[in-house]
Amino acid sequence: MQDELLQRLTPIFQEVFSNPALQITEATSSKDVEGWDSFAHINLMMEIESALKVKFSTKELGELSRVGDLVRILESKLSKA
Amino acid sequence: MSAATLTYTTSKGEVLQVPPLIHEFLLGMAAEKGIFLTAVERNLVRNTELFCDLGETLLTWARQQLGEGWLHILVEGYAFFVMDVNRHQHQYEKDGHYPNRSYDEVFDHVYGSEDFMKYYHWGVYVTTFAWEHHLKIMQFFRQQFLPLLKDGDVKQVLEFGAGSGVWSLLLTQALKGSFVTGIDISPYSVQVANDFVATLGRGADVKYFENDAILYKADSAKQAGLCCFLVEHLENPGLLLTNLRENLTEGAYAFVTTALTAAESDHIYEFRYESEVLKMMEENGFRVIASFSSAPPSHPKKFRFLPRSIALVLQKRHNDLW
Repeated sequence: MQDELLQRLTPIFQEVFSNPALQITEATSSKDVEGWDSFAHINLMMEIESALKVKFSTKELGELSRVGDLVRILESKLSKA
Repeated sequence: MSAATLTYTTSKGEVLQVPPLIHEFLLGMAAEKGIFLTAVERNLVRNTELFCDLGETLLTWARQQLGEGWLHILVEGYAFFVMDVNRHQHQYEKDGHYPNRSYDEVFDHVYGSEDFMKYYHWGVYVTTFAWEHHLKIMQFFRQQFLPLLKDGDVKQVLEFGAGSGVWSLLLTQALKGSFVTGIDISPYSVQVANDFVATLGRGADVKYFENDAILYKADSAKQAGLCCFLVEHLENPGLLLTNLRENLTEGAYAFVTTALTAAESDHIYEFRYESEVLKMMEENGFRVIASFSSAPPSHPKKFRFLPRSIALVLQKRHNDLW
């Protein structure tokens, strides 16, 4: 499921950060992606919410600056859906 | 900068001398919430003296109040508040209007929620210096409003929407011998603000009471008014402004701030133009002496709405014109 999630997340990251060559792994964090600041972060999270039909709490939003953490939360949310 | 400073290097490599708590705060934010650092560092670089002066004061107070966990609470609160604001601003872009239409909609999930208020409270507190457009509003407060009160030897001040109490504390710090009576509808805010004042040993300067600012009647009229970032939280701000005016002496000065096209979880009244705010002040018995509109410098131009704040220095009129 982790690989499948990464495949679904990659085009969202590419679109939000306007970088078609951007590749992400579980180790990718905000420090590795140009332009990943607080405003881009909310763009990213809202796009993910829309694409994957999930909802993050405000507290979760502030804690998801690593792709690995994002994947784990998504796995948890999607398994309960 | 005094000798008690430390060297801080921003993520872009700028080297600055900053006071110790600012230094600790920035390192804490970098470690816990790095995505929030860019805008805060930009503000620090552009407004170093003001950022350090105000920020160090506020962080010193917060550390006294919160104790050992101060840094974590402030960084978490700031992250929570900014995420909440950004989410609402994005939704506002899509919907074209604020999320709430009435006070009842807001009360349960904001003012009545202790969990929410804990983060909200300290998040707002940090924005006072960490958000560049809020920092500029504070500069306007110090430069345009406080001198009027000093010249007028003002002693008794009324504040509506006391929040964390930061405006009252800064006012009474600058104006020795003055006293602020603060009114806030949130029992949590009143409790936290009074605890805060007690911790800082400022009980002789400020006292907060739980009450509805639209209905509140002071025992005697006050010489000045404060109402910061409250009117946008109301369905009918005119009622509050009229009541503020009625609680002030003839010719009293007031300082009022509000938000324009800035969606938040508890914003109800939507101002789109600065002129609407000025007109509302005039319609409710005030003369606008000075106004200052301030916006975040990096808001993306692709968006329709520019979130901003406006501050006004007002004087109570005694007739239609004067």
